[in-house]
Amino acid sequence: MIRQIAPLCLGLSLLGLTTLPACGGPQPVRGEEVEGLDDEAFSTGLDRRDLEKMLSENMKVLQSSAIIKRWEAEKSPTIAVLPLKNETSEHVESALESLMTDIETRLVNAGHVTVINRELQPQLIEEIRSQYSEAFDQSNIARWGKQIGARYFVTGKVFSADERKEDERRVQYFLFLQIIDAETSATVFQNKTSVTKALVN
Amino acid sequence: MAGLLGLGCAGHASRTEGARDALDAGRPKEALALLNEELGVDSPKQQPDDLSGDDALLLLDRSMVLQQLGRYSLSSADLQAADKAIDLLDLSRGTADDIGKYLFSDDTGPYKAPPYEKLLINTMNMVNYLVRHDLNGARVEARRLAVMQQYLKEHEGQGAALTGPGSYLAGFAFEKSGRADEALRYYDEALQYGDYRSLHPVVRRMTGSSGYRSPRIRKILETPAVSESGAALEAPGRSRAQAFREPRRRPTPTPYFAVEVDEGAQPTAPPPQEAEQIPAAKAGEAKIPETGKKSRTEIPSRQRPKPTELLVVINYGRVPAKYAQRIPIGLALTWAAGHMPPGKAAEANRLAAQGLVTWINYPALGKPRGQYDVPEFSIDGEPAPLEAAIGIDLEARAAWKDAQGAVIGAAITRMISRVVAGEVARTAAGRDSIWGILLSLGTQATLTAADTPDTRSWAMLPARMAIGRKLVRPGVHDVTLGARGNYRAAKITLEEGGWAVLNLTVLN
Repeated sequence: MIRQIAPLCLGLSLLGLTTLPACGGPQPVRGEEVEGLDDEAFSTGLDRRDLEKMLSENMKVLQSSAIIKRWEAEKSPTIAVLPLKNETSEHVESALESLMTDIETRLVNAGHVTVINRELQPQLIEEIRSQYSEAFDQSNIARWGKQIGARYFVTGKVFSADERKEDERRVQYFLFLQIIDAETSATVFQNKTSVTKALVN
Repeated sequence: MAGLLGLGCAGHASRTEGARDALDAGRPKEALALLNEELGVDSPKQQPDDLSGDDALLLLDRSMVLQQLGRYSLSSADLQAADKAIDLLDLSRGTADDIGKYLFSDDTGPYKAPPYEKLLINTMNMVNYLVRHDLNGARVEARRLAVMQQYLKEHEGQGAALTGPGSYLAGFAFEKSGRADEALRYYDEALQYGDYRSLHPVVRRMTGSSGYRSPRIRKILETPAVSESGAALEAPGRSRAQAFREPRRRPTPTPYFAVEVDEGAQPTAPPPQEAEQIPAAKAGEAKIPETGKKSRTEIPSRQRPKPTELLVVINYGRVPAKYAQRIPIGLALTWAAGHMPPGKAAEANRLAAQGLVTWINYPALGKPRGQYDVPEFSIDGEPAPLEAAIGIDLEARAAWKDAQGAVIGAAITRMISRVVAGEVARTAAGRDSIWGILLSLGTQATLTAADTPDTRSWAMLPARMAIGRKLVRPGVHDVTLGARGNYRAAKITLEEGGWAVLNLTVLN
C-alpha cells in the first residue's frame, strides 16, 4: 500500500509545483493603516521621505548661515524659488516640483523673506525651464529678477551617481541648493545634501 | 492528459499573437486594444498595478504601438514603467530560476532581457522625448542608457554595450542642450558602433566648441569636408543590403543609402488623429549665414551660429517573434551538445536510441517583417538622405544564436528529468502494475504541461531604424516620411537655430 501511495504523493507534489495558487490582488490602503508604509522604498526614485530629509538638512544649514542676518538687515527682501535642474538618471521632475513648493513653504513660515508666488509668473517659469534645457545663461538672472520683482532666487541642481551591479542598482542623489543675488548674480548661499536609494537583493 | 500536454505549448507569444496579427494587417488601434485587454486595463493611460510578471513585456510592446499612433507621452510612460520593471526582474533573477529552467520549465523565473532590448528601451524613449522637444527627458534617458551600457560593458563585454542609435540620439540631446563635450562623447560611441556619415559634418562643426578628441573623431577631422546638406552624396551607389550592418560583434561601416522618393507618392495616411501636437521648434539666438556669404569653414568656430536642423527617425518592420517549436532529439543534440554536461548528453543519446523520446519542445525565432523595405524622407518635395541606424532584427537573431544552444540544452535536460521522474514513479508503484503505468504517464504529462517554451521577447520592436538629418533654412517646411506603404506628412516651422525631431513608426 505504502509503495502505491508514495508515488502518488510524488505525482501530486510535482503537480503542486506547477499549480501555485494565485494570491489576492493588491488592495488600496492609507499610509496610517500600514505601519512603516511611508518609510519603505518602492523604487530608486525620490519619495516623500527623501525630499523631507534633503529639505530639512538644507534648511537647517540655511538657518544658521550668514544670509539670514543679511535678510534680517534688509527687512524681508523678496525671493523667488526657481525650478531645480534635474541632472539625474531618474525622471524625478514631479518630486523636484514638490521640493520647490516645500522650500517656498519653509521660507514663508520662517518669516525672513517675502516669497513671490511663482505660479503668478507661469511664462517666466516656462522660460527658465527652457533655459535649463539648453545652456544656462547667468546674465538672465538680473533680467528675471527685475521681471519678477525678486531680490534673491533660490535654485539648485540634483545630480546622481547611478551604478548597476549583477544584483544591485544604487542611485546616489546630490542636491545642491543655492541662493543667488539677482542684482549681482553672486551665489550667497550654497549647500549640498545627499540621499542614496538602491535596489538590493 | 491531452489537455495538459496541449497546455505545454502555450507561452508568452500566445499573449501577443492577436496584437501582432492586427499590426500585420495595418490595424494598430486594434493591436492597442488587444494589448490593453491582455494587460487587464481599459485604456492606454492605465498600467497594470503589478509588473512583476511578464506584463512588463506587454507594456514594452504597447509603447511601440503607441509610438506608431503618435501618442508619444503615453509611449514614454509605458517605456519608463517597463524600464524599471525589466531592471527589477533582471536583478531578482537568481540561481534558483536558472535551476528551474533545467528542471521544470523554460520560462521559469523572471524575464531576463537580452542586452539589445535593454539598450533599446532608453533609445526608443529618447525618440519619444525628442519628438516632444523635451531635452530634459531625453537627457535622463541618455544617462539611463549610459548606466546600462557601463553595466553591460563590465559583464558582457564591450560589444554588448554598444548601441549606435542610442548614442546618436543621446549625442543629439546633449548637443541641442549646448553641451558639446558630452555630445561628442556620445557621438564618438555611435561612431564606434558604425560609421554614421551624417555625424561627420556634425563632429567637424562641434569640435570647435569642445576639446574632446578620439581616434575616430581625429580621422573625421582629417578627411575633406563635404556639404552637410549634400552628405548623401558621400556614398552613392551603395546597396541597401550593405546599409544595415551585422550586429555589433563584427563592426563594419554603416554607409548611407540614398533613398529615392517616388515623385508621385502622396501621403496615404495623414498623421493619426489622436497624435499629440509636436511643439514648434524653439529658436536659438544665433543667425544662420545666408547663401553666398562666408562658408561655414571660414567662420571662427566659437562664433558659428547654431544650425537649423531637422532629424527624422523612421522605425519600420518588426523583429522576429519567438514561437514554440518541436524538433527531433537528434537535431537538438547536435545543436546543444556543447551546452550540456557530458553525462546528460550521453543519457539523452541513450534515451533517443531507445525510442523513448523523439522530440523536444523549445522556443524558436520566427522571421522578421519589413527588413527589405526602403523608407522615405522628403523635405518640400525633395528627397532627403536616410541612413541605416540599426538592424534590430539582426541584433535579435544574433542574441538568439548566442542563446540557442543553452536553451535547447536546458530543454533536453528537462526532457530527461521528465522521463526519469516517470520511471521513478513507475518503479515505485510496480513496473507492471496499472498504477505504475498511470503514475508514470501522469508525472510525465504534468511536467510536460508545466514545461512552457520561453517565447518571451519584446516582439513589437521595429526590425529596422533609419535616421535622416538635414540642415534646413528657417521657415516652414513640408516633411513626408514613409515606410511600408504608410506615409506621414507634417508641416513644421523652424526658427533660426531651431531644431525638430520627427518620427514615423510602422510595425507591420
